[in-house]
Amino acid sequence: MTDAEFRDAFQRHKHVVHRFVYRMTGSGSIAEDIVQECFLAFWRKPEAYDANRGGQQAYLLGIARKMVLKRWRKEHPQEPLDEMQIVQPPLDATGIGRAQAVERAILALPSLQREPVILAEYEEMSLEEIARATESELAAVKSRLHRARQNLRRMLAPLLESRGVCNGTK
Amino acid sequence: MEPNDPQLRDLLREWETPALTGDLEQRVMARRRDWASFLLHGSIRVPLPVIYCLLAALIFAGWRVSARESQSRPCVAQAVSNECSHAVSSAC
Repeated sequence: MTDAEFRDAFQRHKHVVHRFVYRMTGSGSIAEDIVQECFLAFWRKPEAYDANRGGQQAYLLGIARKMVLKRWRKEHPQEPLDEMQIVQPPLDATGIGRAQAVERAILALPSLQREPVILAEYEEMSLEEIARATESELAAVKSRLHRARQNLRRMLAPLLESRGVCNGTK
Repeated sequence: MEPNDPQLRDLLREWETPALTGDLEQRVMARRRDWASFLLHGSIRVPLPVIYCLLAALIFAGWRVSARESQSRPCVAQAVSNECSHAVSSAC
């Protein structure tokens, strides 16, 4: 990979990788560290990227995702990544802004539910693209997305019921 | 998110991420040329014929060293057996 190719890839994908990692971890400093390591991994081993298996963005998101999950497993060795039975209670949003309530709700999701909802909702990726980025079966992505949506609706019910969703405070 | 759930989608969009700090690009570009980092994480490609040659050279060098050691080893056979002392000492 030439220097120009790497710079081009960095400029094109740095924001999407950063947004994804930030929403997965809720931390600006961790997000920047992982973005850095993600692109360095790409630079050190460019031959690992196979254009036939999907776009560069999905590949980089896949690297970032592995780093996020590795970090999460290190910090929470006993907790499963995807609690099938988990039912999140409604969020107590008193005293916090709507944006902060959304942040708390998304960070409360199990990791494997959080990633498809972030990629679908914020990055507008298709189910197939999400499946490629997360190296998951399409059916698994659909199922996780469905459970994530149910959990989010339950957690954010007070905000969804109180009024229309537009023009909320942040 | 499902397209028939615009309410939830709009609500989720209210959470925005902070912008990237300006020095991230500099950090990434600098780390690429960091030799200490390369020594820890770097890799190089070595063609198989080169590896074969290196292995052959290593085996040859090992053989030469062991041959030299056996030539320069002191003769201790004399102390072991008096019967063959003449033959051994002449060999030594």
